Amino acid sequence: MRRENAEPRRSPHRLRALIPGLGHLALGHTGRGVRLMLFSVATIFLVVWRWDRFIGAFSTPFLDRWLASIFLILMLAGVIWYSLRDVGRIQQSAGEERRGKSPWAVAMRRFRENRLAVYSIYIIILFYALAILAPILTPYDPAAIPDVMANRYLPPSGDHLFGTDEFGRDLFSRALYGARVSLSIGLLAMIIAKTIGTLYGSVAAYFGGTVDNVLMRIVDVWIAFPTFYLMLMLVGVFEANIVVLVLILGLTAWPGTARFIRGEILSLKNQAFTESARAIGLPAHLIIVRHLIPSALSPVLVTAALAVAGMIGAEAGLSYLGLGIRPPTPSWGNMVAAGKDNLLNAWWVAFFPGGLLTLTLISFSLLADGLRDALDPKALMQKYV
Amino acid sequence: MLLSVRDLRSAFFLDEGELWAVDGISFDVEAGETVGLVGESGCGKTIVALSILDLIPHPGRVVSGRVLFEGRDLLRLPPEEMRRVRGAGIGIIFQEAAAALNPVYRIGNQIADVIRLHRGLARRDAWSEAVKVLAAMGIPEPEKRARSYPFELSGGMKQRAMIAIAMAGRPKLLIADEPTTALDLTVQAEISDLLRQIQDEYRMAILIISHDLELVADMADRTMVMYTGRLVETADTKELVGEPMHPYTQGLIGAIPVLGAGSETPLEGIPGAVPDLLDLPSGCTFHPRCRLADDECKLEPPPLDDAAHRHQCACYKVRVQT
Amino acid sequence: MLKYIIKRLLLSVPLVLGIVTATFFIARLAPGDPMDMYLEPQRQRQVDPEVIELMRKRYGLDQPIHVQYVTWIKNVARGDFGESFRHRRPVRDIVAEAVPYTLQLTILALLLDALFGISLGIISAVKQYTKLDKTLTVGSLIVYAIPSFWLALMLIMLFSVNLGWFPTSQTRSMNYEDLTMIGKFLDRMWHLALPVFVLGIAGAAGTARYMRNRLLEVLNEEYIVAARARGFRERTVIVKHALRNALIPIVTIYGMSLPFLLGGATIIETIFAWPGMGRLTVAAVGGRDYPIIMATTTIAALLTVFGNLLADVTYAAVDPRVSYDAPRKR
Repeated sequence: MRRENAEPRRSPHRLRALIPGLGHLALGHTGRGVRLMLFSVATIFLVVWRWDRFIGAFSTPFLDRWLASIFLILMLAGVIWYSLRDVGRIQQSAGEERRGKSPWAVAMRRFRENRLAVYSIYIIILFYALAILAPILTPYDPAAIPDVMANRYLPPSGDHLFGTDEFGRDLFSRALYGARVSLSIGLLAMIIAKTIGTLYGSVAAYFGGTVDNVLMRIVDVWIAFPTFYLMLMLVGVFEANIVVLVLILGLTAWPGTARFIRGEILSLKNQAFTESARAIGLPAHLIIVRHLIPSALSPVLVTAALAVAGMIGAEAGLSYLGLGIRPPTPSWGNMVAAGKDNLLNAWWVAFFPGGLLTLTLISFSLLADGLRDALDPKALMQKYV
Repeated sequence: MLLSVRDLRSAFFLDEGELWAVDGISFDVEAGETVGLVGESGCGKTIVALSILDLIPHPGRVVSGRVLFEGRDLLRLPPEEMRRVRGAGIGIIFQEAAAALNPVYRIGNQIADVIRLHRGLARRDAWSEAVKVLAAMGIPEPEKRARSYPFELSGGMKQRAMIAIAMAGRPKLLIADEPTTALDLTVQAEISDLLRQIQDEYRMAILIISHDLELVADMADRTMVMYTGRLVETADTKELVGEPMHPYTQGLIGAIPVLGAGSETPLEGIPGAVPDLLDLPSGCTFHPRCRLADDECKLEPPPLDDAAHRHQCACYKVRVQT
Repeated sequence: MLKYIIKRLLLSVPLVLGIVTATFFIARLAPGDPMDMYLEPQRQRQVDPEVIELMRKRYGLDQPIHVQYVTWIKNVARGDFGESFRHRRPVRDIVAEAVPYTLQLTILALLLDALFGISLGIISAVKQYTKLDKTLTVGSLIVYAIPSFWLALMLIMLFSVNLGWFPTSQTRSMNYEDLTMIGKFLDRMWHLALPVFVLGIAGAAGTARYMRNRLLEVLNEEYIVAARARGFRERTVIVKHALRNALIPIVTIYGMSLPFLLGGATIIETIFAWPGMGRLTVAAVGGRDYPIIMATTTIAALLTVFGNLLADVTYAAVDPRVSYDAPRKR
């Protein structure tokens, strides 16, 4: 960073930025400053409130507890780092009015202006963070069964935010742990599907000819099965635990990506600029990296967001039917199933997990829509000017 | 006066800012004459055409000005009246016929629809009229062609078909927006011949918009030069080409290769590039690229003033000379 | 056109073969002895080993795998999917009984889907940039994202349990047999209302989004500006010029919903205890009734293939740009 024009005023600001939000407030960015302050206050509060669990994690052998505590530390560090960097960036560009014109900058700006998309990202990040922090956050042990008769089917209250189920277990804690299951399955399954699909499609497009033909025929067969039916069949064949379920979900969805990637690479091969790139000696892998990735990135991101939603929904559906994650492991899907027979008496058992699930799916859909709007070029303008 | 445009201003209201595609344009077109509008891509000439017909898409619109056609201000007409002007009073043909023809309807039907709309003929009569129009446009086997779909026609024939649709309403003014740009050279000549022919036959005025100076010079009686939304020079075509006054026009003409001039005569380009309409230079928008520019040019845009007989020019430096 | 259809049918043969093969091998992948699967529904009984061998022979499970494979292919070609482990009846019969129930549900749902989806999508596109459009867009996105089982449960809770307007499940009321013909019909409709609504509304949301996008695409084409420039009124431009183009892919999409007709309602059927194909499959999966699972999955996949064929043929029929001998997908 250039410091030649550094005014002496800068240093106090940067120091102030160590307290997240303060620097921003001093510079006049109240919105962001307030948000940063609230965030860091909330994080610190969490650490203090659950100090024993936070510290205690490091003496247990459980990976998830370590992860939760480390994540909390990272959150705090991250806020401070971001605050510092952002204040520095604001000060640096104070004199320039030029707004970023690069496609990325334009896309980011357009995305940020889409309020719904921004909120949905917040919600998604919030949910994942809550899921990771679950060991620290949960007021009760999700698996513990207390005095059943006294505690079963209690409506939502200050003690039990989401009420209790038929065994007296606290549903808020179970929902948090259910979030871990549902959200991680969704994300992992999507990653598996996209990775396999991309590799497969790239190989098919790269080799072309008979190899391509054979590979694509296999894809055709796979795609012919309606997704949910395929999942049902696979779940019926293999006993479903988390790992198997992730694999099944991932393995049913990869052909779509494969076809898409293959199409992109093939069309790239045929476009004029590939010929010119090759004419100036650009090797094949560079062509792919420099040209394929950026142009394919937009639809891949959009479909990735949609895919996570689809995976989460599929897992929920399977678990609801009793074919996915089975109790007592909580998953939002099987929690809804547990409540379905008591809609009149204990509506909260089905309502909250389903509500969280719906919120998550809606957020991913809004995110995908926001991404699509932000990344799509406004071709309309070019035509008329 | 058939068409009288006064101080037309149209803009696009984008997230990134306001884009003034047409920034104060005034001109006249008399019945039967051909007027050319020349400029590079992106100077707003198409928007002039769309402004006249009030067809600018969202997020753009005509902001101010008057468009007097046969004495009535088109911009202030009620919608049903304006619809009658479109197609029957003023026709328009576009650059790419392939895009301007509806791909799922037969050519004959597309022409006949216009005939039924503006000339009130019955379905069968409209069809035979349509065939006649196709024939008049020089399309061989018009009955067969009328039953074809656009994708079955060649580029030149699609253009003729589009001209036929525009002519079907018997307009008094035809706006031709880049009529030959997308065509092969030989077809270009055919189309410009066709335009001249129908102009003679139907006593029609033509506003020809193009970046192809040679085409315009060939067809237009008078020519206007446009740059970043404003007119910089207007004159009788012969005079404009022979004695261009504005440095931009001179640059445009100097950049035309001349057959037989030999390889020693250099092709002069214009230094720099057309500025982004969202980020225009101050004052005379041409000043960063102009060899005559000085500080006076950076303040206010120069007005389009009379510089010689039937010759206007918008340049501080040139007026002084005359 | 006929040539095209025949050619496509022939091309589908390897695909169909692949589907049937895939189903066969996936089922065989199941860990454990197939006989255990057969016996599982009757776990209580201790079965004599000799009987097990007899059963093994009867189901041809003692043959080497390639023989089993060929037998399977031959049987499928005849429509024989074997016998259900749990119900001890030919799978074909069981499936045939379930199909009409599913069809009632899905056909009505598709109608609802098309009616609301297409019209809302058109309205949304025509009124682009207005509040109505924004509300519809976001609304359809939300409805589309809601998990069907939760929506169903919430609606049941609201309309059946609390308000009592609709029955919670089943296909018929208790007094069905005593009703008149009209009464029976109305009773069935009454029971169909909620499931059809849930199924149709989610589909409608998706259709509306797609229709909106498609129509917007078309509205940005130059021939729409040209149509306006000819003096046609806006309604004519939209209905005659834009819609005719925009609806083309929509039509083919409905061609592709053939698999949906039989398989798209699994969860809904389970929630409403509707005895259709979906519920059958789910129960079969839960009960490890392999013949049924394989049968329904194969049928669903085959329907997809024919659905695609139907979609392509419809497309060729509807879009004049597509010639019948050498179809090009746009």
